[in-house]
Amino acid sequence: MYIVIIGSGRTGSKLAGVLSKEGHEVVVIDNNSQKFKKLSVEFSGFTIEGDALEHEILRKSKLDKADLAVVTTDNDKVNYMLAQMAKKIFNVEKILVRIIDPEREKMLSDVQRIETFSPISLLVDAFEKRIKKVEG
Amino acid sequence: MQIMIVGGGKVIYHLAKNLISKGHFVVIINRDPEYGKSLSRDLNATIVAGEASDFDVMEDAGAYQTDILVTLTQKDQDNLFICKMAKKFFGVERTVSLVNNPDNEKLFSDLGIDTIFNTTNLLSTLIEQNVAAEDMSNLITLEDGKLIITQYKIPEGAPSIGKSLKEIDLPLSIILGGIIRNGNILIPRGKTVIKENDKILVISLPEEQADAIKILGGEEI
Repeated sequence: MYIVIIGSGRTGSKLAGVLSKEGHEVVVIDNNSQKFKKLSVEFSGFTIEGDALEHEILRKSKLDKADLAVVTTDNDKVNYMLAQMAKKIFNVEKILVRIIDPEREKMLSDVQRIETFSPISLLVDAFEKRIKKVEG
Repeated sequence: MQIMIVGGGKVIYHLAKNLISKGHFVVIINRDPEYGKSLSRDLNATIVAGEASDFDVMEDAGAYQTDILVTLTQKDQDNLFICKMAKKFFGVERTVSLVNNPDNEKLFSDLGIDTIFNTTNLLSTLIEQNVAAEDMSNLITLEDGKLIITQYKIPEGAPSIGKSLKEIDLPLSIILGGIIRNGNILIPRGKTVIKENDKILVISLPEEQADAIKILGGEEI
C-alpha cells in the first residue's frame, strides 16, 4: 500500500518503520526535519519537511494517490483538520487519526472513512480487559 | 441575539462593542486571562478565559444558548474545529469564520461553515479594484466576489456621453442597474442617454468589470 504519515513524533516515526519493513511504500511529513532522526534504520521511504496544513505540502506527498493516511501530530485540532482535508480534498479512502483528548473523538465518530484512536481510551480499554482477566 | 466570539485583538473589541450597542448579548472566549481582564473593564460582555475547543469551556460560555458563533483566531484549524463543535454538539444555528489561508475556503464551506471571510482574497480584491479608477466605488461583492456591483461616475469626455444604451455595445453579461442623475434615480432603458457625471450602477462579473468601465468611460483600468 501507499501510505502517508503526517507527524513524525514517537508514534508516527515508529509506525513508519514498521510499515516500511512490512514492504509498504511510506512517506512521512513533519514540519521539523530533526524529527526524522527518530525514524528507524528499517525505514526506506521518503520524508518531506513542511507544514502539512499547507495544501502544497500535501500535494507534494501525493496524498491523492495514497491508499491510507495516518495523522499523528500532537495537536487535536490540527489532526482534525488534516483528516478532513485528506478526505474532502485528496479523496483518501481510509484515514486513521490520533485524537489525544478522548472527549474530542466524538467530533469524528460518525464521519465516514475517518477512524479515530485516542491513546487514553486505548489504554483504559487495555487496563479494563486485563483487570477483568485477573478477576477471572 | 446571543453571539459568541472566539479570538483576540482590537477587531474583537470593536466588533463586540458594535454588537452590544445594537442590543445583542455578546460572549467572548480567549485563552489569555489578562486579555480577558482588560476587555471586561471596557465592555459590557461576558468574557470567558479558556480554550474554546474544550467542550466544558464552550458549555460554560453558553454555547447551548448561542445563536451565532464567530471565530476569528489566526489558526484555521482552531476556527474550523470550534465551528464544527458548536454546530454538532451545541446546536448553534449559524457559524461565521475567518479563513487565514485562502486554500482552506472550500474545505470550510464543504464542511458547512455558514459564512466564511477570507481576508487575503478580500484585501487583494479591494486593492486590485481601487488602484486604478477613482471614479469607481465597489458597493457590494456577492458570493465571495463572484459578482460585483460597482458605482461608476461618468467622467468628462467619456465616449459614452450623449449615446443611448442601445448604441453602446455592452456585453450581455454586464447589467446597468440604475443611473443616479442629480440625485434622482433613473431605471435605464435602451433609449436612456448617458450624461456626464451620471453615477451608474454596474452589475458584472469581476473579470468583466474593467470592460464595462472602458466602454462607459474610456478609461483603462
